[in-house]
Amino acid sequence: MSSGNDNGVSDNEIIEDFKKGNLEVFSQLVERHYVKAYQIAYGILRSNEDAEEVVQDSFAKIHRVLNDFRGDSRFTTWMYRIVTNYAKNRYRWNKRRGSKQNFSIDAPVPGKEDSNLSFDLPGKEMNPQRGTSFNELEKGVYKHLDAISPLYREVLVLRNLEGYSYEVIATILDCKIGTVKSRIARGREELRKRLRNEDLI
Amino acid sequence: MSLDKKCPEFEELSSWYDKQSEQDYTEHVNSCDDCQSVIEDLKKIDSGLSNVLSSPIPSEGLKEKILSTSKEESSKEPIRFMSHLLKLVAILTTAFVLNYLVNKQDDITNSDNLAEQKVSTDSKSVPVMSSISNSPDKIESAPISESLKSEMPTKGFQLVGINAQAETQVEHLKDQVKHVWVSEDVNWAVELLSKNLHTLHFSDKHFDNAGSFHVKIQLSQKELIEKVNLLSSKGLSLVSPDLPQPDSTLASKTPDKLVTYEISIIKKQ
Repeated sequence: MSSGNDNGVSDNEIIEDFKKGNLEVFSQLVERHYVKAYQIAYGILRSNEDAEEVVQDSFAKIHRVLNDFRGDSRFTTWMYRIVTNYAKNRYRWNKRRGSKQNFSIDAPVPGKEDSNLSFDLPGKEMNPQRGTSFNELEKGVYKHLDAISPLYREVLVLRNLEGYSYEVIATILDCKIGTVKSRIARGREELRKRLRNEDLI
Repeated sequence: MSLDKKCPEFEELSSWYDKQSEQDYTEHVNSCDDCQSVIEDLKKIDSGLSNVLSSPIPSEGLKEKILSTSKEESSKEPIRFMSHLLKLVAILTTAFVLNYLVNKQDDITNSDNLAEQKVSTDSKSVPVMSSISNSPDKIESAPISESLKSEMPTKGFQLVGINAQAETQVEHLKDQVKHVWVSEDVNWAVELLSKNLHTLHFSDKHFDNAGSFHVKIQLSQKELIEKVNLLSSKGLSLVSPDLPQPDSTLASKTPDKLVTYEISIIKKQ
């Protein structure tokens, strides 16, 4: 989905085509990357509506400035930087607006609304892509992700979704590698404490 | 449990687990039950996180929405271009007429009581606010910092700051206020200003070599309040809420006292 090299055509080749005026190829970039972009936004914001708006805004921005993309980094690194920035802005906006949280614990997990499996928090749980439900540990992780700082969530999202090195995460988030290292550890430590308290690990 | 060496901090173990540490704790972990337990927990958390974070899927129509939004954005480009073109034509026409009218007015005014106020027309490589050369309460010009410039808006114009030195002269500001706007299109900003403030109140207006426009506006306290309110109602924030405002109380006490506003509209670099 986000290999950046589907059908033997790389992201950079698509972008070159776009720069030459073939705007239609933009849909290929969207097709490749929108799900991952959504998951990153959702991982930070924990809200389907916010995540979808962030992804739309991000791709609109990417469309506007794609001609300026120089290819110094991978397209995905550049794209995720835009997505995380929009997500962080949305988070701040929600906070300023007075939202107690960016996520309702009663909200179903996107893509799992039609599941008939019940789950205490945040509701129905099932992963239709895998056809399996969350195990107890995953339910705990899902629940406690909402309780930890968004600063920790964003680094964990980039680390676990894309397997990025600390260096790449630092580039995406425009911070120091030491900061990434520290936030990843603190996020994990926080989750560990909470999961241990519930005897889930 | 291994007691031969102190256990690494959780942060160190976490980065070692990610293969992002310069230290190698393999030997220690292999011989330390506590650290092995931490690593086992990290594996479980890691696995849980990977499954949980990759599980949400967007609604079916999201891709279409993204493409639709992007197309809308791109279709706006020609309209924006035409809009800018028409605006430019309007500005040039207005600027020509204004220039004629204001010059005529300056000739009249200069012969009266403003002749002694000469404007410094020094060329400046960085955008600065113009100074009032012969004012006894002279406020020195202050350059706009690079960090501030990077935050400047790309469209329209916006109040971005006030002379740092002037900020300390709050009392003075009640009578004389300096403001800076920034715009990609200085002419357009000047036109907006001209439309909403009677150009007869303008003095010492000039463009400097950097393409920035400087003007002093002299109004009574009462008129100033009215004009500021008028501009605000049109969506143009003449005065930042965070900065000293025209003093309404003062205006009610001395409504006819003359106030000088010094405004610079600086071209966004």
